[in-house]
Amino acid sequence: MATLRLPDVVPSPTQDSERLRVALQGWGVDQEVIIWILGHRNAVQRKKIKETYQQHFKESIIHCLQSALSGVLGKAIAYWMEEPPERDAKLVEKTLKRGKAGITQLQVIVEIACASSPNHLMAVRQAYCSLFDCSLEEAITSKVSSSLQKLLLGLVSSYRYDRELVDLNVAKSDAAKLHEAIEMKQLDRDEVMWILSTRNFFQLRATFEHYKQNYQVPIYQAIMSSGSDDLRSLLRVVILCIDAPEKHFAEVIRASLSGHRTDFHSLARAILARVEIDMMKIKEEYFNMNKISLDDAVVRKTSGGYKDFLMTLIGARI
Amino acid sequence: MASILGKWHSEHLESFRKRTPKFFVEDERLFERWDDHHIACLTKEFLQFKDIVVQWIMHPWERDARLVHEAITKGPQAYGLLIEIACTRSSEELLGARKAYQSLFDQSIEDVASRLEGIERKLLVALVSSYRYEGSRVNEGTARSEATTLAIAVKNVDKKNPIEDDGIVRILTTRSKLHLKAVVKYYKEIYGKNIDEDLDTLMSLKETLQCLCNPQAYFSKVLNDAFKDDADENTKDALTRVIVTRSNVDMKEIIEEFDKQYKVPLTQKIEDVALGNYKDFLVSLIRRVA
Repeated sequence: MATLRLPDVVPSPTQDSERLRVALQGWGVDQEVIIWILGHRNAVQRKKIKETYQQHFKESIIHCLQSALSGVLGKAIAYWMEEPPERDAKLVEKTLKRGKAGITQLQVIVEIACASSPNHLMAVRQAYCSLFDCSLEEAITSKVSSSLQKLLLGLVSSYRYDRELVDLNVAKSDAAKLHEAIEMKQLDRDEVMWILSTRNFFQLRATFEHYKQNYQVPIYQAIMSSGSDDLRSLLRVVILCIDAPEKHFAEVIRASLSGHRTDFHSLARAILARVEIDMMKIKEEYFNMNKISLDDAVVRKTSGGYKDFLMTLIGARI
Repeated sequence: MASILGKWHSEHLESFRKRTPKFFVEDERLFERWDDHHIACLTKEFLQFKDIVVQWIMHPWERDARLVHEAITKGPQAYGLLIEIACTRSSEELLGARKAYQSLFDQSIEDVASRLEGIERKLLVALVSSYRYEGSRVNEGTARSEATTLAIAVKNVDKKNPIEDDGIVRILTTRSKLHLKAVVKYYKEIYGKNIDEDLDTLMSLKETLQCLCNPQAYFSKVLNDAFKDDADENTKDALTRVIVTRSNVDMKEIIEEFDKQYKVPLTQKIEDVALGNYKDFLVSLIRRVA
């Protein structure tokens, strides 16, 4: 469930644009107003604000926000204002451009392919072609090591059926095929990739459940016990994102908050991607994992406008 | 026809039958018997006419989804049709077919394709899942090196079938059509011959490349096969399919290519093999663009 809170009566995009303009252009930038308005609008409403602002003031609001707000807050709010498909396409491009992409970087691609809707993944593919003059698949081919390419290509090419249609016989036979591949340490088999890429999410959850019942161990544990390499680590992320995305994102958030320096980018990315989807579940999961609430963790490790913005989004701040 | 025939009484019908000895023969038991062959021709013509009307009116996404479903049901002999649809449609059209398939059959195409029999499976799953870049940018260096990759795979065909090679499948299913045309061009430059000639024993690969790089030549051949006397039903159905699906796309170029290849105008071949309303419909679809 989402944590994003919307006002009972939503002001018109014109009203919002005008108030934002004032907040951006005044003597000192009024961060509070910006966070207050944008932190309480969903994707559709933000898109209308963007269009209205452009029409009225002939300027891109993202541009204005980036100029007016410095540092991590500016980046986070600009990120929040982007259309999700463009935002994710740019995120993938930046991730791949960095050079040798490890699991921590590549999991971003898995999140888009496995923890969001098939229509969103398709929109990201379309946006990638428009923005970067090549397909997402071609970008993966040129930048990702060959051992991980096949799986990632399969995952991003899928356009899964989006209704809840489960065939228990398929769940049984798919679980058996996966089990065999794990036992034989042949996780790069085509069949593994096809099962994880082409079945609908409900079918796969049934398959994972069947695996656990039949083989007495959750499938991602079986994979991790069978050896350790990049492919296995990636497969674990794939399965988590399909089966229990809240666990995956709680882990990402925990990792970004632990350590000496907070990883502001990953933290913002994980939170902003999920506030309208399942942030409540992520918060529960975070608490189970760490025995401290996400709200408290964010307060401890972040500050200023960036903190206020995140707290607003996760429902901890009115 | 309905408005005229529907008004006739039994005397009119009898008079019509008596006055058309070409179709109705006086039987020894004293009734005007309809010639069997003519009934068969009429049935076929009405069926073909029905098919072409239905296919023409249908939304292209639904049409393609139904064609894919038909191909999957028919098995390996129809894999060529899967290749045709996956490779000759634009990225958006193929996406549309995938959406329609889900609405019609409650599954994704690639889910079904992943369970097909045969070595073509890897290629087919990847082809139906593609969403190719359609802009003008081509990396000439990559195209050149991929031409070499293909040549090596073709040379080693005895050790491993290129269709089962991840790298080859990746090139064919993720690169843009413009890029693949450049690959074909470099192949000819470096090795002195058209890649078609080297792929003669690898039909699926040959068809894939042809559909992607030269769909007009591909469709001309399909049409020509449909005109042959010994063509089976499936091959003949291609006449309707090609004319209907390409009418709004590249029919003009196909007509020109057909002319060039087979030295006979396409309209004439159609007049030779098709009858009645079915023929008229085909000809009018072609005339729209010629």
